Amino acid sequence: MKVTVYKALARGVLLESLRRKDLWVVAILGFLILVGASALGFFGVQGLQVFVKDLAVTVLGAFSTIVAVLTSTRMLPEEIKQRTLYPLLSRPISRLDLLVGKLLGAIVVTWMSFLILAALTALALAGFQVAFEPIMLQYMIAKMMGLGLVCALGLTFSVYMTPSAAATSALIFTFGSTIIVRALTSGYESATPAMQVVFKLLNAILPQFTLFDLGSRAANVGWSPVPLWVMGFLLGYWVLYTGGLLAISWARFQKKAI
Amino acid sequence: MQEAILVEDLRVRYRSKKGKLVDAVQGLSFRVEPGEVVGFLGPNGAGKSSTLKALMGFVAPTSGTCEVFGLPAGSLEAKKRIGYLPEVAMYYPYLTPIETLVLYGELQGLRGRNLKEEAFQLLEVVGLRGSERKLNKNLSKGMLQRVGIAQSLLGKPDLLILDEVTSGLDPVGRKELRLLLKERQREGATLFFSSHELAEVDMLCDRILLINKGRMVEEREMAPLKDGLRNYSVTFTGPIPMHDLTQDMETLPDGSIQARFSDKQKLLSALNRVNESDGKLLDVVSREGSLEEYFIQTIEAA
Amino acid sequence: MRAWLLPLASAGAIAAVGWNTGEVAAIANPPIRRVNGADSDNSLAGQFQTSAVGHLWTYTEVYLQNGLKLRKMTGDEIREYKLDPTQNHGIPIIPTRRKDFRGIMGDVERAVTAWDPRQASHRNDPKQTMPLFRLMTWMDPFFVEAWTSGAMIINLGQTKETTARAKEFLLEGLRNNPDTVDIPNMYAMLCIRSDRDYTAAEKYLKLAIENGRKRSDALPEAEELAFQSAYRWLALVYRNTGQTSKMMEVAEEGLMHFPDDLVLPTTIRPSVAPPSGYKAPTGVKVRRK
Repeated sequence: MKVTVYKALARGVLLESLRRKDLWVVAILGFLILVGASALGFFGVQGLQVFVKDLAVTVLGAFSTIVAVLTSTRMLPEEIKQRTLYPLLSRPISRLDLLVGKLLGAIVVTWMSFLILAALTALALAGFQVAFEPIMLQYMIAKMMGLGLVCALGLTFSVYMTPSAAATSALIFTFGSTIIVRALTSGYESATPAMQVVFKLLNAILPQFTLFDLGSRAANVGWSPVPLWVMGFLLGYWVLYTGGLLAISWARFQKKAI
Repeated sequence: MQEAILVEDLRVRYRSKKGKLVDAVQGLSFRVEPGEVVGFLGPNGAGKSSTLKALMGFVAPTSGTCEVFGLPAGSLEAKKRIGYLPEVAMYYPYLTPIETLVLYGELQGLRGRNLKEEAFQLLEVVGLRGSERKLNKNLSKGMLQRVGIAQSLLGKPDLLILDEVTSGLDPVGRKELRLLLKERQREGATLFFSSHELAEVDMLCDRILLINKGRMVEEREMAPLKDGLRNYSVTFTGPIPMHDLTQDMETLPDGSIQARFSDKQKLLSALNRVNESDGKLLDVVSREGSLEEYFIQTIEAA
Repeated sequence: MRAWLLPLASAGAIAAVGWNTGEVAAIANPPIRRVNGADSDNSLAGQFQTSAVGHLWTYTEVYLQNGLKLRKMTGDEIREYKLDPTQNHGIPIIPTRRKDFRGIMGDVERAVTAWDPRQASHRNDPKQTMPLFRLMTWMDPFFVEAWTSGAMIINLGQTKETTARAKEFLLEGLRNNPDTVDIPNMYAMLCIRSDRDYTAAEKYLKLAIENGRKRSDALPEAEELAFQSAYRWLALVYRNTGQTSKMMEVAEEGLMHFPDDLVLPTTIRPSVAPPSGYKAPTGVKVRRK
């Protein structure tokens, strides 16, 4: 029964997104990537593989993250604003069911956008004679898990903040994740013991989006695929963290008068 | 028998946008028996929507009891037995009516072909045949209201909670809706609806609850209320004494006398007297009282 | 969502067109003049340009190191690893397991990132960095080092074709930076090394020296080195074309600006004559003792 509920809610989100032609915009962006990539051809195809792969993972990562943030942060506020939440919650579903279903919908939309962009990017790479390697598949899988985490974060923020504040905060957390992690690792040794405890706490609490980015290995030459236990860890981290974020969202949402 | 709705000393308090505490419902109590059709009336800001939201679990009561068929209001078990029509009809703009109903039906626990068949039937019943596959954003307000009515009837719920049910409907639509709701009542459903259309209340309800400023003002059975509002007049000639029956008499220009009664018994007594006497009965008129006037007078008095 | 992404799409379109034609650059990229060796405009746009171009400049090193991102070692680290403190040393930005407090999360980051130099350590073909230089010159046409380094990368193969492309690239750079010393100097070097075209070389070396003279009091380090180099090359051109008096003039002027220069005195030494088997390029008179 629960699975049907989640599927129904997710399907609603997906249909709305498809008919609103959001994914068309993604496809147009992907097409522009191809056009931009073709503009690089004047240096000759030889010797550009690293650059085009690097560009591909950067653009793919950035655009799909933006899609994830925008999709997840506006879902609930729009439901409340449009008053479509009333007939939903009048059904025998709990508010947690609603959150889970909506999150699944956001993840599906984000993954579809990512896969469309990835397909178009793969076409561009094929034009530069870049072969598809196993590390690239791992990159895609890890990235999709990371995008799922971005959706969960965006949804959580949207329960507590206005949509614009939620989107801004989510973008800061995702794009600023590398800076935060580097600051923690580089500052730890010289920090006082008390601050070191704070650093450890921050490391445990803050979502680590850098872990889901295999871009540097995928773009460069000769890096081996990551071990299976790493992918398993990422999956576990994603599931646990998403569960935690859902719990935080639910804590507020269940008490919210609508 | 378990009440369909039981509300006891319900209080709902909000914090306004400016941070002020607002008591939307203050100690409201009422019951609705299974199979009844009850109208929930009140001026704007009386607390009707807040009460309905508390019944649906959209807001948590500050205090008091709120139960549906003996189950806590807002619980999943209670919601399984409720069909709800929100005040402002808004449905996903990029879904079609059939997709909307299938979505809500699946959330209701309905499945597969049965669900689709029921959805198509309901859309036909509410007069949306031919528009099942148009996007909701392309439907008029009245058509969206019909979608809302259809979704509230999914799964044949035991209790229908309808907020401004006839909003956006044309007179034909209203008549069709009345017939539909009457049929549901005959099938055993309980109807609890709020409306500003007193004509609809008049035609549908067994009982009305009138609230103002979050408090119950009056609770009346419709039949005795309408009887009470009704008035009669008898026009006759001849010296027939009527002063013990009514003081409201008037001599008309043609010399005849018109006596007015609010009580049916007194009317019958007056008619008997005219028959037994030498007088001549010229006219008997029965007038329905104005529910609107009753509503306004009662609210103002409260 | 379309409202959000439309500006991005438009920016992407402009970028694509600008890359391809270079004609949009002047419109989308208002000139930020580098006057008297000033490094950047103080406006926000100028600072953004400088930051973005600076990021690309350092990113070329990441490309060359196959994705490895390094940072400068601290003094403590140099002492710890017993390295030469007078040199700059790099270390991966992700700490080793021993120094990482993050436990398994650190292990995972090391596993997913291009981190360990032992795993895939090699210098990538420098040609891989060419698009970065192209981007730098598009984003900031006044970044002279991007033109000269880019030309070097293009001409790594040192074939006629690569030299011709490198020269074309430098000419574009010179059009954007008519006052620079380094670009005409490098252009002249390519003319001499590949074609022994002393006529063309002389023209560009004179231009380089002229530009250097105008700004000699405030040349950045790279431009100053190019200024010095231009004198050396021009003296060499005059020597090889038998124009001894011009060679002496250039050498004197060069030594006036760079009294410690060791190459100019060697170039003009009369005892330096071509070996007996030396065949001069066509039209050049061999100088005899």
